[in-house]
Amino acid sequence: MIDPTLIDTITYSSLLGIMTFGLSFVRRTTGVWNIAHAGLITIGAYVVFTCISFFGESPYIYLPLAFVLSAVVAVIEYMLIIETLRKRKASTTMMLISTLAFDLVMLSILNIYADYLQNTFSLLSKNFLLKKLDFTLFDEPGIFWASLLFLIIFLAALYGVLNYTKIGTALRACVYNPTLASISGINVMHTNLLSWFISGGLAGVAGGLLPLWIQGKPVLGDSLIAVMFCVSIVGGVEEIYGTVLGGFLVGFTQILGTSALSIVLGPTVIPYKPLIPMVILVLALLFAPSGIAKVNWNKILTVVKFGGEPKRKI
Amino acid sequence: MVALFAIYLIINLSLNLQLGYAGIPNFGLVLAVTGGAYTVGWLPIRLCMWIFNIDSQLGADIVKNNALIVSQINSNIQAQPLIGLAVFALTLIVAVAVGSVLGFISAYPAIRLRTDYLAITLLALGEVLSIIGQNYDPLVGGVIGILVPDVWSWSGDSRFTVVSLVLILAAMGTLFILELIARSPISRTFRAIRDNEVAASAMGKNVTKVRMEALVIGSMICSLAGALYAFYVCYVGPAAYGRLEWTFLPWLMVIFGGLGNNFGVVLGTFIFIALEKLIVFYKYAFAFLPFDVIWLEYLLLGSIILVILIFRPSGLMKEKPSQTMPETKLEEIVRKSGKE
Amino acid sequence: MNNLNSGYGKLHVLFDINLKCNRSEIVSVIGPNGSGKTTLLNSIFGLADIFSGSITFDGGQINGMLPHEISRAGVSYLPQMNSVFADLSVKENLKMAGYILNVKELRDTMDEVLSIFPILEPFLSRKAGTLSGGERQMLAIAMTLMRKPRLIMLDEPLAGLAPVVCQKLIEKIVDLRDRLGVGVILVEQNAKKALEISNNACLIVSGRSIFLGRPNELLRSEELVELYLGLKAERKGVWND
Repeated sequence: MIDPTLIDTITYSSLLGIMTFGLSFVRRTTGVWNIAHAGLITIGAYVVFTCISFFGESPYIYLPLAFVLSAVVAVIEYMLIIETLRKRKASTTMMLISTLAFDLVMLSILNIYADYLQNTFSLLSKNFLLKKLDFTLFDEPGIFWASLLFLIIFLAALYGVLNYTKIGTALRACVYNPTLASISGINVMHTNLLSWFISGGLAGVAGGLLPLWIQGKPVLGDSLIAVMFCVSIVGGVEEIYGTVLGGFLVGFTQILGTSALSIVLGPTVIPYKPLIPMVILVLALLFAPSGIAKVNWNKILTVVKFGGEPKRKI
Repeated sequence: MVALFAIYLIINLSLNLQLGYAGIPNFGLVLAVTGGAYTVGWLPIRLCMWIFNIDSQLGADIVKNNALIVSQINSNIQAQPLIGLAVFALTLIVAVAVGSVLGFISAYPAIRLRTDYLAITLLALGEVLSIIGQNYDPLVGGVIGILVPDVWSWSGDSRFTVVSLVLILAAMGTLFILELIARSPISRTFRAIRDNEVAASAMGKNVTKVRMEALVIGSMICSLAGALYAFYVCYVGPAAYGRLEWTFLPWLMVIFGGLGNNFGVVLGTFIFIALEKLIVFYKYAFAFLPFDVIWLEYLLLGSIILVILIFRPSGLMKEKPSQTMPETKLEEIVRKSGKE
Repeated sequence: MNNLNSGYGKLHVLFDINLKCNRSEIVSVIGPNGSGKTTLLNSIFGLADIFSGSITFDGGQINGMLPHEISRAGVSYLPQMNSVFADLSVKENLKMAGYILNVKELRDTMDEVLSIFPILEPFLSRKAGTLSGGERQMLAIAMTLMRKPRLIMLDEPLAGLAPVVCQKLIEKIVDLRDRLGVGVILVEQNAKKALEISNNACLIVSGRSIFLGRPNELLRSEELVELYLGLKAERKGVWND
């Protein structure tokens, strides 16, 4: 029997990775921090909830639907807002606000939808937990296996797509050099759409998985967006696997770290668990602004030996 | 409505200073606002207990007994309005100080970051106080929250008028000061750094220091607003000070009204608050809808902003260019120096 | 192009430029640094803002089209900087250059291109960023050929290359014109070499076209040549060393 805390930690870290990956991905490929990623996650949760409530069965079979729906909304967001603003040469701040506004719109629609479900069908749509619908495998909850396996399979699949398919290579090309890609005849908007599609879909899957572990509610995504930003920055956006690394770092520190601290400092530290990602964020900003995936570990050792702080601007 | 307008105006003007003039996208306004509010949640009750010598038995667990304590304090203040005002003023000063500290520590690790990274970092850090407030009961009563002594209880029936008046005065004062700043060299420095960092630092401006200044000043103003709000509603609790109401809505209002233009901000704030009040007022007209009408309002607000960003990103009122010396005066100076 | 006025945003760089390039022809665009030569190429490819005037290709108007559309129409562009995908392998670079081709076309064209540039053969799986300057330029030109363009625009292809490599590259460019019949617009700092192989020349100074005509006419005008190109005039006598 593996330590349940470790199981929890791995589950949490995997979920963090799945949630945040899309956020980092669109940042890397299109240069936008999409606050509405939160809403995309929540959409996934409600897709699964709706299907469970009306059709029953296991939540897992509705994950593909969650993927598709969130992906579609992501693409709509991209086409409607991001592309339009890009054409008008809007500043990064304006883009950010537009994602914020879009998130607000999604949040409102989701709340309205949840209210509607509650009032019309007497469903507990404002606060639900699907844990009881989970299966167990080898004595461990299904969500543990599902999140970990999904993450691994997804990363492998993405690696395959990016390196062995035409559009995947094109995506890499566009990320490194969009002008040259355009000149070569690659329609950069297509690759952008692809990355938003993947990112949105991933958010949807994360949203579908989350209610098996924590409470699902209209603010599900929004309550996690701060942690996601921490994970993204800590892990670094440059390298694809950076976010996953960040997710595991934050996850492990948060759960195992709190356990360790509570042994030393007593149980009063436990409620402050949610602060840990921010602490890690601050530490990362002070010491590794480009993310841990890009840390030059040799340099760190040199710095530690001779003192002084490397200050880098992202 | 007047009160809410005044408070949001103060926050929005602060955001205009940080974002519009200094180009700092502070997505963590909620931190300073909460800081101010929490100061009001923590300090006055203890201060008044000490001043009025309230039962120390009750004082053993301020949070649990806060209702009793506060009602006692209120009756005391009714009799001695000056003390109420003194507590008010003192707490405000402390709140502003708290705001500046919060502004400083949240900005310090992030200030050198690029615009969008700065924005989301401030967003993430903005959550910190809320988390602490929820989990550390002695601060503001944990999740349930805590009552605040009513420093205006001496005004009796005309409380609403009195408070509204004070708030409007505060808002006007803030507007006045910020307009002054806007027309002063300080704002030109801000805008120079906003528009072209490299050039500004080549001219000898310490970019990081100035940005920190803008952020700290901005936080101080937001704290003030938070404190004023807490004194108005006489309640402080983590649930009432969320990111949506105190960071995102101000952003929407400022963008709507016009970034970089204080009067645009006034207009924008007014329209937003008015819209909100209208919708709430006619709530019963919407009662047939199977959902809470507040979400319709937010849906509307979000959509309006998207439309604005696409079609009129400068907002309702555009930023005015810097007022520098008139041309004739400049010519005169050139002529004079040419003669030498 | 006809009466082209273009620039970037509010910056007006080019004023009333006229230029023409036919098949099997090399047109040089030369001039001092910052005169707008790159902007000219960018304008053709939709990477700069066109304020007025028009650009036609093969009878059709191309100003206003998106870069990737122009590329697919048969125009290739070798930019001054970042002309290859450094993080991708040589093979992937060529694949990307031939993005619009189907599998068979791609294979055939790659074989063809590699036969023109056999030097690239051993580097196929190496990252393009690890190649030497000359090899990278070869790759870049190879990439422009992947789409069998009818017009190639080269922005300072000889910059920073050893003289031997320059010579090879020049030969290849001439070869392109003569054997494959492509039109070439060549922007070059090394004016002398460019003019040697050109059919027509355009001298741009501060965004304006000062001269448009035969290269030998340009070289004979001492004023233009001395002032703008830093070369000695062909005509001797008036200027003593």
